[in-house]
Amino acid sequence: MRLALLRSAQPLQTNPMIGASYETLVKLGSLDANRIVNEGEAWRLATCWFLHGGVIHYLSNMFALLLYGIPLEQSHSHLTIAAVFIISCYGGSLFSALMLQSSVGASGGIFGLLSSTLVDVFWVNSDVLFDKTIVPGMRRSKVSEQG
Amino acid sequence: MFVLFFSLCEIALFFILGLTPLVDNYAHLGGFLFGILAAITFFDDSVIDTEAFFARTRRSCISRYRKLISQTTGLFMLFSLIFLTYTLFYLGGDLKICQSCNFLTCVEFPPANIGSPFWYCDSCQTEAVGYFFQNPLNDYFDKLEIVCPSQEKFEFQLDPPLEEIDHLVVINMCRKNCLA
Repeated sequence: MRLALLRSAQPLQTNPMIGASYETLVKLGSLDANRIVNEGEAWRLATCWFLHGGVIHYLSNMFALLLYGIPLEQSHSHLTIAAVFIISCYGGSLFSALMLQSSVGASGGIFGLLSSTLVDVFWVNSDVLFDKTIVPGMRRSKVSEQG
Repeated sequence: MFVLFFSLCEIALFFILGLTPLVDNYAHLGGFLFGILAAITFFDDSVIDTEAFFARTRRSCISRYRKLISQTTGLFMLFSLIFLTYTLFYLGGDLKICQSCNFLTCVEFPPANIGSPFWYCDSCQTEAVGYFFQNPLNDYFDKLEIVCPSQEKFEFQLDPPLEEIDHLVVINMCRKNCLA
């Protein structure tokens, strides 16, 4: 595994995040507006979520995903969070493709979770999220007591 | 407040990460906007319903209209997604929105006038095409033709000849000849 990683890593001038080269990522399905529009490869809008530029990109994305995903899934249903994640991933891909960039990563979804955390805390519902004194599942009972 | 501070730190971190090639700050921006829309649509646990709407107790304007706002936002999100997809597929190739804004998503570091940068933001990496020609006598690649991003063509003799196709050669040749 480590050997394969080292062998596939490119010089930093090609990929500053210790990862595969641009050509490899294109073969695996990275986002490229030209290929999507002119060659009909619309699946690139979805496959680029699962690719990452390199070790640094991957680790920081997964760290953020755990950080925001766990408390969100504990206070909302799994389906809700999945919908938010997929919609914002798709929106991020679309924005990136419209600006004619070539990119990889689930960054759109990560930012979707981040902004939905902000919305949850400052718009929808108080400071229940991240509050360690409240255990998961308490929220609904709290609401029903009020009603 | 802790959440806000932490999220701002995270946004700053990801903005810096987005300045490298292959990671795109526009994707971050799009994800952020659609995250807000999706959260307003889906996260409303129907705490506010008609009963609360007609309640005579003092409630803020926002909490009265929360359900209406969330449904409108959901509809807006749906339409904007469809519109963006339509724009991409029917205008995508010709559409050049703000080419000068690209400093937001890729910045060479350190800048070129200080030293050779760690990474490049030019179009050579993504758009240059190279054709290698093989010498029939010894099977080595000794000629290279490059098509620049501007569709100009250059031919080179490779010295020494290469055993295998090397895309780095194409990128470096493109940087030397196409961008001058």
